[in-house]
Amino acid sequence: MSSRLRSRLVWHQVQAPEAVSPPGLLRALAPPGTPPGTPAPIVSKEKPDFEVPVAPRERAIALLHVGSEIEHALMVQYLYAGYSLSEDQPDEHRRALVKKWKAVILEIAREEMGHLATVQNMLTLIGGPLCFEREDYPIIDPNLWPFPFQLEHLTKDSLAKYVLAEMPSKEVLAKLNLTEEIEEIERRLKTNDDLLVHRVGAVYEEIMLLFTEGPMIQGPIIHHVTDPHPFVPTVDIQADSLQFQVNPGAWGLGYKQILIEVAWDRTSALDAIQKVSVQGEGPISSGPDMVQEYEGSHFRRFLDVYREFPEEEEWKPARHVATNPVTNPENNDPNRRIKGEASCWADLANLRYRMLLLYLKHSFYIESPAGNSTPSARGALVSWAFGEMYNLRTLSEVLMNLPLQPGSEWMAGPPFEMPYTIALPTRSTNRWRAHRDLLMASIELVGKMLTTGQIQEKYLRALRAADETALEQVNALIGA
Amino acid sequence: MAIKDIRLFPPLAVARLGSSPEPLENYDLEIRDAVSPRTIVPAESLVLDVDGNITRRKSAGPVQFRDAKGLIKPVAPFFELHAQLDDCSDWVPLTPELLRQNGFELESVKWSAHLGNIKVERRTGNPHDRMEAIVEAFNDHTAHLVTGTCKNFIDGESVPLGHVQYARSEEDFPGLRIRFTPAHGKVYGSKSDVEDPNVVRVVYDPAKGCWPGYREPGSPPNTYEGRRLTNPAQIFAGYDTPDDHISYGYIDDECDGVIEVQIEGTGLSAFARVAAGPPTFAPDSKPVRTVADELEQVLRGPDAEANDEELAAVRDTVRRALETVRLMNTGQLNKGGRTRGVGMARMDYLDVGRKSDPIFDPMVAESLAIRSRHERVLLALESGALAWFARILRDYDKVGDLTDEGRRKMPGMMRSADGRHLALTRRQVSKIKAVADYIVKTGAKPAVQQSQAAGPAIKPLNLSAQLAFEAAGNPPNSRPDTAISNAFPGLEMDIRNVWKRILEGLVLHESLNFVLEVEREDLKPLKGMFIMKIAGIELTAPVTGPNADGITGPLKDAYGNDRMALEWSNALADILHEYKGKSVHCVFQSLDGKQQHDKDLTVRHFFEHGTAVIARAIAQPGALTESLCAPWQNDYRECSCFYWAANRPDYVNVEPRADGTSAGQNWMQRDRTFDTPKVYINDDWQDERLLTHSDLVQNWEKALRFVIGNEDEPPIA
Repeated sequence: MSSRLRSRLVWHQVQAPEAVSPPGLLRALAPPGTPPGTPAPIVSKEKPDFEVPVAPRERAIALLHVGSEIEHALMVQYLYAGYSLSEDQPDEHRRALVKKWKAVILEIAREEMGHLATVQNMLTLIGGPLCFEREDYPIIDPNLWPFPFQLEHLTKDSLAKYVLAEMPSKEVLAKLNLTEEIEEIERRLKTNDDLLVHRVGAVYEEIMLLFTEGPMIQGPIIHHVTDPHPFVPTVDIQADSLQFQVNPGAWGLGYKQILIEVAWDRTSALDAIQKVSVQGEGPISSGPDMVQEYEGSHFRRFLDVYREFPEEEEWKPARHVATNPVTNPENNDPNRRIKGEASCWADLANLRYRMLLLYLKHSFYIESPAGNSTPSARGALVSWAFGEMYNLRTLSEVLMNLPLQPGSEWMAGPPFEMPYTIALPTRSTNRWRAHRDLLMASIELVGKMLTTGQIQEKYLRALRAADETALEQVNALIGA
Repeated sequence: MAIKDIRLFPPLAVARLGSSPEPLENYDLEIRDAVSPRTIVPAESLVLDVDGNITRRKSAGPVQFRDAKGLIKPVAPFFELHAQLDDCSDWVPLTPELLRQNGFELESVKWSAHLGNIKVERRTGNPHDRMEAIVEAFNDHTAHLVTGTCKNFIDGESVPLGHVQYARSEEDFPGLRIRFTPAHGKVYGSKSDVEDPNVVRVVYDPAKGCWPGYREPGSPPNTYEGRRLTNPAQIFAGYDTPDDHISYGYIDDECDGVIEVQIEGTGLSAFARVAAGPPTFAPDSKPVRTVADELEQVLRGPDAEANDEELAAVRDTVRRALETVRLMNTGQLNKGGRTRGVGMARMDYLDVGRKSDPIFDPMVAESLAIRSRHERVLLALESGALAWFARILRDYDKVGDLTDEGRRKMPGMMRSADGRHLALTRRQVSKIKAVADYIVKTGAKPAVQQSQAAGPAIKPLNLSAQLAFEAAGNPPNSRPDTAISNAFPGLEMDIRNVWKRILEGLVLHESLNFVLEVEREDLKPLKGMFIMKIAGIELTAPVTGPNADGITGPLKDAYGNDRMALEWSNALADILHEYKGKSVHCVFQSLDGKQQHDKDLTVRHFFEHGTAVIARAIAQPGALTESLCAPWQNDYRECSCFYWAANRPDYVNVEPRADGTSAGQNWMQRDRTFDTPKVYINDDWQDERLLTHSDLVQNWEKALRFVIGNEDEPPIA
């Protein structure tokens, strides 16, 4: 986790009470008519917390940063895992399975991008700084993540991690009759990797609590019922931030599949976070929509793939790609360092990754009147970001078909190395200059690659042509 | 080596109007990279002199679409005669030597032509308004005029529709070929006391027919007379009264028909089709859905399998989409509103009362953003990612889905042959979906050259190759893949007309599931009825979306119907593929919905047997162009840019602005010079800053300017 908050974030083990009403938000989410004293539908056994006192708004910001970095990291890891799958299989049955799994995992990765955008919207809502950071190598404290960040090919063990990270609470698991199966997966990971996976949902539960007003207390506090809790003051929830938030109409051209939520008040914020949470882990309570929410969740989709996925000794759906590949010349690990033909492609992938992050981030800086959207430079940024997602897919495919180093038995992969900074300059024109510089760098790099006779020449030529068009537009925005 | 059979290739060619005496030279469209415009480079042309002698010529470039006087060069396609010999199944060029080997002299080859312009008859319903031109059999090498005559013309008057000329076979160029050169694009009038500067000559006699003064109501009744009108209606030059649009009686010189050849004494004959339409004003661009796509769907069915050839075709389709949006002011077309010049959102409001919202979030509908998005899809396709694009294509039977999500399907913001949002052909969609899977499995491969002209022989069963045949010297814009097929009503031809006679005994409406005429006594009760199902397949689709109050539900047209007729091409794709020549059960319903008839009818063969030529029984001469605008200039003036930007550009001289949006000009803007401010003028025919009907009728050749490589042609003196 890049933010310095990582040194303050800890995962507390908490004991779920036997029979209590849920806290405010959770009570609000309980099915109508749920009598007081009903067993809590969800109470985490584990929750993220901070070691020092933090005001509610900042606490929400910090947790949103945690959520953001987690979503970002998950997206990257899922992309890597999805791209590692190879449809070059000996029979149609296996080809069909691989194709299906790949589609599922890349779809989930795409949805993580929507979650990432939603988290930025929530940050914008309460006036917090945006967060597009992500931990980079070396990983300082692997236990701060739901699971240690690892770019790796898809295996049954890695799927087990994804299942556990996205799983709902124990109580919901019990309702879904999945307790035994999940415990078996936990045992598997403990046995194989000595790994404890933290639930992502726990972070969102804490965030939801911070957006939930505390109970009105007109008498003595009744423990576990009217417990006061910190929450973001209403005055800090800024409806006029809506014009800086991104929406699915722009990002997904309005198709329903991409879940990007906007918020303008406490209720819409809670709704947005809940939707993100539900799309990830499924039901957050055992309400009437439990089964439907479970069906569409990342958890369910990962679990389905896990159930079908072969053990390592059976057959291999994934390519033999390196784990955590890097371009850093100081890293001489022959199983990680990218050298030779793949090297320039990895550089290009890192560059386009950086461009994607900057396009995404910059788009939040450009105002778009709420309810009366008008053409603006934000549209170009959205289109370019959309294009970089495609570029990363292409570059991943190329890299996973090239050896990590000359003579290596491993194939390379997109390193997704974080740039030295993704901070944007203060002045608007300088933000466009940042894009210009990256476009120029890409044009130059591609030019060099073309002179050395690279594979995918047509792609490289087209990429350069598209960059030149974008550069023309960026120059106009700078006023050059 | 007896000659078994003969064919004329290509089976269908597009001629393009122009008054220059010099036909357009041949050129190639080269692709430098996936996203840049195609580059026009000179290719070998065939020059045909007045005596029929052919010489080869390749200009140094650049290719000139006008002559020195500023007149537009017509596209005059050649048709080559091919033969199949009894010792081989391939088609080979027929030469004098081959004829002699079979005991025939060159003189036994006889050419003829039968063309028509029946636009007036389509409106008035009077067969005496049919203009036809018949060129009797000939075998000399002089130019034979194609002269359109009509019973309701003034005695002795006619309209020149172009000429045909049989080329001499040369020693180094031994094949047999004929060329059709279209007319100049003039407009003719009706006899009147008032002199009309719009017409070059008066030919129509109002004492014989009713074309001048013919009227179509603004709100046609739900009767046979109301339903028989073209769709859209009122697309002829005229004037408006509060209730009606009334014809001035104009006649243009577009036409379509057949070029025929026979070898006397053998019983062998062949024909090909030609249609004459306006030039391609952005000749380095192609429309996203074309006549070639329609014909391929008929030939090969709605379902495609993925292979390298289809991958190349999909690349081309996505490129065509990019070429289309490059020339469209998508920011303008995306707008909601009721004013002219706004695109499909306005049509949805006017036609079915849909709430007047923008289609996409305006922030991302800006032209440069949309163009950028298309570029990235093409870029992705170049390297192997297409899944996202495949998912968001509009299905042919969901064209009535006017919800936000439904309207945002691709292609976006364009109008289709059924008047609603454009869907690709089912085969195009199937190809894209199949190829999306295919490239995941195999990785993207370099584009496959689609040209079929590489070798002299054509495999007998490969009718697709025949359709795509590139005759020597014919420029790319003579091919069906440059003719638009989201015909409402169309440009080079209204391809919807090929479905009118698909059921034996019936003449269907080109744009409505309605029986216009019957050709048998026993079918008389069906005239004026809706045809609801063929072989169990529904021919209509529900129309749904938010109404003016924002409540989503069924949306009704002016007749109170909440279902719309699907365009024939996609609706009948399965039927044609599975039932050609067979009997199918059809269900009919009266206009008021109270009566129903069932009838078994035979599905006609679409192509002439064993050929890739649209069958004679499917379309008589003139049928392919009969429902186009009269004159065609009306289409350029009244139909805005959400139909076919690749051939009729909309947004030109586009450049990025400092606020991140684009600036540019309307292609129909009169004042378009280097110094003219780049302010897009909304496409409204009433705005005098834009070209008027009269400008186009009198001076279209100089008023309309070519756009090549995103560069606007300078004003023509």
